[in-house]
Amino acid sequence: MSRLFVSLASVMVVLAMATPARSEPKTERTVNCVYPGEVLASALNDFAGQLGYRFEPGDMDEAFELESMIWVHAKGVSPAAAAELISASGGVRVSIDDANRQVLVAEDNEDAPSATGVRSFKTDKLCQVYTEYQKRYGTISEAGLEPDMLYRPTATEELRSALEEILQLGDSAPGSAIGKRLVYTRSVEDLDRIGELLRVMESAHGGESSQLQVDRAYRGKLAKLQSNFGGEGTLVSALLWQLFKDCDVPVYVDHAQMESFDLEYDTTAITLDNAHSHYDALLGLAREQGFFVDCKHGALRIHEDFFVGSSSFRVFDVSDVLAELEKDYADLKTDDKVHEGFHGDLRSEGGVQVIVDALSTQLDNAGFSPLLRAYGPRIAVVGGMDVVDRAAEILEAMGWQPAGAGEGEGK
Amino acid sequence: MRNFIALAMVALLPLAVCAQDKAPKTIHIGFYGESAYDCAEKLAEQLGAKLHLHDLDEETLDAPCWLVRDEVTPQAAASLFAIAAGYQVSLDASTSTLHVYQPGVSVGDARVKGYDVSVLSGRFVEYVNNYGAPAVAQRPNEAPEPERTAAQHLADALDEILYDPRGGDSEPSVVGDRLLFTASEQGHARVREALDILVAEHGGESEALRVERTVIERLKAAEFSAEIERTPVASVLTAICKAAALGIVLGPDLAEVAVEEHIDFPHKKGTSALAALKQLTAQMAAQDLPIDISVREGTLVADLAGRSSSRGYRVYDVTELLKKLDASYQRQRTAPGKDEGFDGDVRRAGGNRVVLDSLEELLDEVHQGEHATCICFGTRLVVRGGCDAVDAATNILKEMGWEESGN
Repeated sequence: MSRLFVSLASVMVVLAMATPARSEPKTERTVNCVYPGEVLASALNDFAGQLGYRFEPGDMDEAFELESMIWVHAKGVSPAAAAELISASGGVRVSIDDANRQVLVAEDNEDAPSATGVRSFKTDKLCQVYTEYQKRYGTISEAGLEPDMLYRPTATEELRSALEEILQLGDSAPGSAIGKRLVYTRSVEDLDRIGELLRVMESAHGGESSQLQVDRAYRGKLAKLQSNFGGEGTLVSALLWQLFKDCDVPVYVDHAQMESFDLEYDTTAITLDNAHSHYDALLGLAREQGFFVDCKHGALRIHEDFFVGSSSFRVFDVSDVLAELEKDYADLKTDDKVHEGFHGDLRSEGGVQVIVDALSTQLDNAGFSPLLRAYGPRIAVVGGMDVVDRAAEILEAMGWQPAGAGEGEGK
Repeated sequence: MRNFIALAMVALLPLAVCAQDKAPKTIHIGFYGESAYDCAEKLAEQLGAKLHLHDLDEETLDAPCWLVRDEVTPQAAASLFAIAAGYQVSLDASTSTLHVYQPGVSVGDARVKGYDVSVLSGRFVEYVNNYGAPAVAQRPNEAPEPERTAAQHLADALDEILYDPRGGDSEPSVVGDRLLFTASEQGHARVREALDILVAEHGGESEALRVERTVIERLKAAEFSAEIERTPVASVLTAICKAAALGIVLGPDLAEVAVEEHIDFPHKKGTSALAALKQLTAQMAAQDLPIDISVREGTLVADLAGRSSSRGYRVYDVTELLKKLDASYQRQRTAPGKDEGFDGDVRRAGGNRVVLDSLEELLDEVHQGEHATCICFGTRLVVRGGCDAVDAATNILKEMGWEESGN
């Protein structure tokens, strides 16, 4: 009983963490975003109406984006969270002007400055991990290249590159690497994401992002739902609605994916029956329609590209696998001067890249092409629960072992 | 919102929930040239399963299918239909769904498994150290060829041994002395079997080859006496198999032709079904329609030559033969610097290539070359093909000095 309570409490904590922290102590309002295939302008009018505000399209009055469809289903969420989800599905930037009681919309311009803060991150521990890795397994630079033609970043500079790739921070507002410190001037949300990734990477056995844990909790809820639905000619939009309509899991279809869907005509062969869960059907639909599922903005995200900035990731520590591989490659050495011989070692084979390449190939064989990035012996896999768990399975097939319970796995 | 509700209402119209009957233990299949789509629907119905086409539709599945088989299990039926249709087919018993995929894509039930190949890798290293040809000196300005580990050589060998032209395209990964494959349960079973036979002390034959031998024996024992005039080739093949109480499946390329092409088939009365089959394949080869015969799921598979996907192979351990060759090359060494002299050894002659090259040449001589693929991995030699090709290879190896061991 106490275990059950603890589990429930954990899920509640995780869910609470997932809700973007836009504290509005004055009015603890919530809204219902039920826009499954709704025209953006109509959704924004409804959203503003729920707040008792007015929708003000401003310069976008004539914009075609307002006539395109969005797909959001999130009940009882904060207005700020709702604005995030509508923005992400509509490919625009929705904001709430409490002072003038307006809901505003603007083009989604990545370069536009958003609310910023400056934050500095100490990276001593990670730099040490990287330097030790480089000394033991780092690829030796090819002979013949002029020294100034080689890119030789410091551990901090390499970490900055890794963070930018994993979180897809974009070219604007880059971080600064100063000694063993990284400094960023970005939005508070970005700074929080950077801080979280650094914490997870620094942890002895890696771990998961909070959004990935939320993802697990949401999928768990879907796995408990069953219904009978569908048949020949079922619309994808109808199945999506059936999957989520009775579930308190917030979900949205990313803007790029919305452009790929034709909600009026796209049909699916996936059906629902009482022998299988809504989660099984969602995975089947994802495979059939070629989309992916992860978690962003505290909601399940249906999207088509891992490289659009996800907050769902897991970091694996593969130090033990590297140590084993070092021995394996030593065993695979042949005598000198023989044809078909091998005289290399783990360094010459690429160090951690041996693992990353295999992980990438096997994930690709399973129908996934997620973002993978190594930093020394730490490998980040960006994606939803199904991708990350498949990656863990592949790493286990390579000899990696998850840390035991209570050892800070972070899972 | 109104838009959506309207759409959802339309979508609800065809709502149909069918209770699935319990899946049958065995079924009878008789597809005689209907389109692959019709056959897929019929098969799904017989299996009490839903049909799920992945990136395929009725129009793309329009080629004729020829598959006749009694008393076949649902999984074997799916496997045979895959050959007939030329697509990947899997039956998911847990969801009662018959999935049809394009060749080359990963199928839904694929899982990853890692295989420890340290023993085989160790043997390869030993082989290279003992018999490996000397490294060729690098020419000036020539980039060195990337070195490959024993496990990488093994991955290449397995790729050839397990190649299936209409199967999934799942690239293995080599990590140290481990091989990783993402495959279906059936795919993993094939990888496991190949590794087990490769590591076995004296090599051995694949299960598919053993099954093929039993089918050949049945054909040999059966009498074929039917009188055949102006009959489609597909029907003649079916009649021969029926005489031996065997099923038959035609590959899609052969089915296209064999359903239409009518022939007379004069033959001696009371001849064996095997002899009739050989006579028919010879007759078709003379008419520029060469046919390969193999066996899958205890069913005869006929396809255009070069398109078949025989899964039979035999692994030979040639360690002792290499030792003999090493000794014989040593004996043939002459004093250095003599005209017509020989100063080499088995290493310089090419190690296992000495055996492999001769075997390939001689298989060609006995007209089995096109039916066999020969692959070397250190002291292991693999011949992939049907019984005739493998038996011909065994005889040739014996003539080279290879001796059958107690396997």
